[in-house]
Amino acid sequence: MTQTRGLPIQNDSDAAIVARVLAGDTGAYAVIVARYRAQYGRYAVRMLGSREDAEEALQDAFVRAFRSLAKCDEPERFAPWFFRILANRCRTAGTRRGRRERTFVNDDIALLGASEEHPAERAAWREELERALQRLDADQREAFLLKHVEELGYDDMAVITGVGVSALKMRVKRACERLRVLLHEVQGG
Amino acid sequence: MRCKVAEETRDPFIDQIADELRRPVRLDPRFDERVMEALNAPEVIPLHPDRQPRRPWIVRPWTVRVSPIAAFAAAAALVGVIAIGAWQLRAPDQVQVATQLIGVGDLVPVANTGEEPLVVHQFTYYQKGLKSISVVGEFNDWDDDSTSLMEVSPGVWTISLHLRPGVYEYQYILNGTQRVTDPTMPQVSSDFGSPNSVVKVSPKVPQ
Repeated sequence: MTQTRGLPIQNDSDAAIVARVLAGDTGAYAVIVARYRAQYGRYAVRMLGSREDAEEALQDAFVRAFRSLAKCDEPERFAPWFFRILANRCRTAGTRRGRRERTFVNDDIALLGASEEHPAERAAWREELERALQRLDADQREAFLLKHVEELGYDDMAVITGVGVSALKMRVKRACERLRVLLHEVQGG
Repeated sequence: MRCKVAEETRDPFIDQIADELRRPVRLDPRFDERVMEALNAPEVIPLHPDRQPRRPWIVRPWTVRVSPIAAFAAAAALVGVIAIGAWQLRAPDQVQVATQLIGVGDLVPVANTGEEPLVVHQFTYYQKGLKSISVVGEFNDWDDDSTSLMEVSPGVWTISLHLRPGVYEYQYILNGTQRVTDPTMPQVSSDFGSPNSVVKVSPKVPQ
């Protein structure tokens, strides 16, 4: 593998790094991976409910993006382009998992995140929240995460998912309603 | 029917949920290393022969499966050919007899890997007046940029893909935006609410 040479590139723009990778400096891609791993890893974990599945989907997305990098028409907008690839990978992983087992997946490490400093009640609330999230239909979960967690606009969501804005709004609305019911059930005992 | 959904206002309960879900998650500390290692791994299925030009069949590596009897017969015939070749000047008619002993029919070419051989499947969509069509499905991880159909005659769009035998869900994307199913194939409802077409790719029947 070609290693990154020369000056540090940690602060370079996505477009500059993409250009370096396309010029043969494969090692520069590590900067891209490090830059987006946390943000998109979070989305994958929330979407799939399992750290293992999320890491697999995220790794596949990074590899697929690398192999298609020449097709990234706007390298300065690498992030949304990559997000679309990841969302597709999560859909595929979710479909495969859905066939394997229809129950939600629990993964304490993924669900609790960095939880050492938090009291048990807080951890329990998080676990219930993740359970509720995984009980949503996949399309509603996807729409909810994109809208409320990733804070995307509906137009961007439509580009990523290939679903119309009206349908996305409906999915978000239903996801909110369903979460409210599920979590009130928990809180109400 | 169009459903009118109001733009949602801020909801403290939903905000609380979103804040919680925005917390960072832990990934494998070796994750970056694994990704960089994976970049050098070969692709599993060569779905895009146009990106990686196929070598001519004459120089492509082949594996042949030979039954023990056929191998013995072939070896014997080869020895016979060599032996008879040595006698060619004196007995040219025997060479012709010996080459016919090789059991060519027993030599079965197989794929280079232990997996089921790839099968060529043709996707075709009929509609005039389109600028582009791509096919997305489980075989290309729903990547809407990777697999474009070609308009081979007005309104006839097609592409042939090398797929492993199996059942695949897929859709077509018209003009880069509109997702549709294949009207000629069965449909299922996906987990994301939209219908998908389904195709079964059967293994190649041995000749």
